[in-house]
Amino acid sequence: MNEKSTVNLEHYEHTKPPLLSLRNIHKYFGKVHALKGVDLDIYEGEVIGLIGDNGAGKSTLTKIIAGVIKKDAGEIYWMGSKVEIKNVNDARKLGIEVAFQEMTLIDSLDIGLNIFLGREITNQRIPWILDYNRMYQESSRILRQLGLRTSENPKREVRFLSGGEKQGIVVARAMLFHSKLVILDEPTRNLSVAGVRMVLDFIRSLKERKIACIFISHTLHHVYEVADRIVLLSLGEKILDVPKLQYTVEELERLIIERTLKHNVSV
Amino acid sequence: MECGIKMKSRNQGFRLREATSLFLLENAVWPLFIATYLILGIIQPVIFSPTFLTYILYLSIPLGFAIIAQTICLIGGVLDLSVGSIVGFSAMLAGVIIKEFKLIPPELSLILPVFFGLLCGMFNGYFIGFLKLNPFIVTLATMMAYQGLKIIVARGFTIPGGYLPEIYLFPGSNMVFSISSFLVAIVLVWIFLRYTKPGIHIYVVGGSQDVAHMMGIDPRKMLFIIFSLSGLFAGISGLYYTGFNRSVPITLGNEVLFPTFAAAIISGVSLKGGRGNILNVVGGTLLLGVIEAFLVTYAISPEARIVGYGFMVLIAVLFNQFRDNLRDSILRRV
Ligand SMILES: Nc1ncnc2c1ncn2[C@@H]1O[C@H](COP(=O)(O)OP(=O)(O)OP(=O)(O)O)[C@@H](O)[C@H]1O
Ligand SMILES: [Mg+2]
Repeated sequence: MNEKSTVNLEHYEHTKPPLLSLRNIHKYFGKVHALKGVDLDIYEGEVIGLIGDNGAGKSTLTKIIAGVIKKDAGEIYWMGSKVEIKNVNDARKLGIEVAFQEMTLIDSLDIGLNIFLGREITNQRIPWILDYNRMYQESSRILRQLGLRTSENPKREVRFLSGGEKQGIVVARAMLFHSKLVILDEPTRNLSVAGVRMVLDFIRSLKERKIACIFISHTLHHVYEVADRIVLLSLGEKILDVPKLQYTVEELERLIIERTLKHNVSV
Repeated sequence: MECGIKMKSRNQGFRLREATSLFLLENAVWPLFIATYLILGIIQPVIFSPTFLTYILYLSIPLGFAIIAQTICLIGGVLDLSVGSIVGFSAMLAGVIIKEFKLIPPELSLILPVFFGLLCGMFNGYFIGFLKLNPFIVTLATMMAYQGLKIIVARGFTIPGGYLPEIYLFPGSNMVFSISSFLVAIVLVWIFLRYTKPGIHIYVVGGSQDVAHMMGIDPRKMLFIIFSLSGLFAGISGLYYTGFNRSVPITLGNEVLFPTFAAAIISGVSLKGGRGNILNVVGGTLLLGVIEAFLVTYAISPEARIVGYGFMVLIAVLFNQFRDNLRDSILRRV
């Protein structure tokens, strides 16, 4: 088992530097040491399945990459050069698109505005005036592409949508903005069987377009289905980082339980 | 696609009815205004004369600008308790400066109260936005501070209109200009709030500051903008009050705060933040104007009017909640 996980052949095949490299990332929330020196490399077109217990630090890592919260220590490299991601717009400029675990929607605004939140389309001739028509059209188009019924009425206020429909809006948003790295924090939560299929297909389509993806989920079967690599976080530390292909999902499951138990006991 | 069209036609009658009730509910302040106007008019027929109606609107304009200020704050999910004090302080400070320093060109004097109002608002916005202090506490503190400053700079006296240039009194004293400039301001604010990025971001911040932050909208910056705008419109209100009164009374702004809440809320601006249409605020302003005028024709004492305003805020909140629930129950079905 151990021998197997040390053979990280995949990494040596890459000729380009990783799209994103995290080195020794630390984060404290008061006394809570949420991330304890995490390293992570992700390459163009690669899908990483990021898994771990509740409170392991997955969302915290996501928010640091997204520029929502500041890291306390460590470095971030983007295509080989060091970057500081100070806010969400810095991350967006690099090409990082995030669907947060907390569905970031404004209940009192309509679907169209919610999809474009913070990146509203403005009129081509009068650049300070919002172009609602185009926002509604684009929203409908992307939702229809995802096979979602909400596409019929993009003017509907978000608070009348079901949990799954809201999740659909969040995924649609990630899909609409072309980027280099898409991070999906539990995008399949609340979703029906068809909804889950849609998200997994979306992740596969990212891969085809050479877009990297970090997929966070508690459902190992979903992660296993689309990920190239599995990264396991436990209590703020990365304790496993393996190419998926060398394992079956059952082996992986056993490995995770083994590692987590060992790690949690030793901490 | 075809299926969708078929469904639509089957639901046409249903949808039309729903749409009408929704429209009426969302703009409920207008029927409410008309009903109040008719009822009060039957009791006091003088209210029915067309000149009286115009007069009511004219009478409400200075307060109307302060209501715009409060509405922007409420949409942004915050409240500004200092709005009345800014009205009084900015008008008084400007009045004192114009009176003491006669060298100031009269045209320039017009922007003084607006500028001072803006400064007061920016001061609020700095503490609330960038220092992240609670808006309730900050504006409660500045409400008292600006109120005290008004009395200090006035040295306890009213400034009579004779000391102020005619052009300075013009916006508030000329009925046609006063009304039309208010309506233009309302339309401009409506365009700003609904059709520009910073405007829609006020709704976003009012909905959730956390979501705004995660979506790359800086709530600190937005709060600063919200309170700056509030101060700006309070300053304009001060200018119009000065013209309307043809003086700067020492009590200016003292009775502004409560009506701004009452009018904004009855116009459908939610206390929860992120909801409300500024166009309806004209209806709320008129509604308050009619009630005020009615009370004045019956020579109700100012003390009793204050009690009335207190209850009006309560009734407005109740009315708003009732309307929101009704609206939700329709929208959920659509
Ligand atoms: N804003 C915050 N303030 C204080 N503590 C926080 C904050 N956000 C996260 N934490 C703490 O950091 C740790 C990691 O949390 P995080 O949300 O990253 O976990 P997670 O792996 O995403 O868990 P889950 O699977 O439940 O989503 C937890 O102990 C949590 O309590
Ligand atoms: Mg999480």
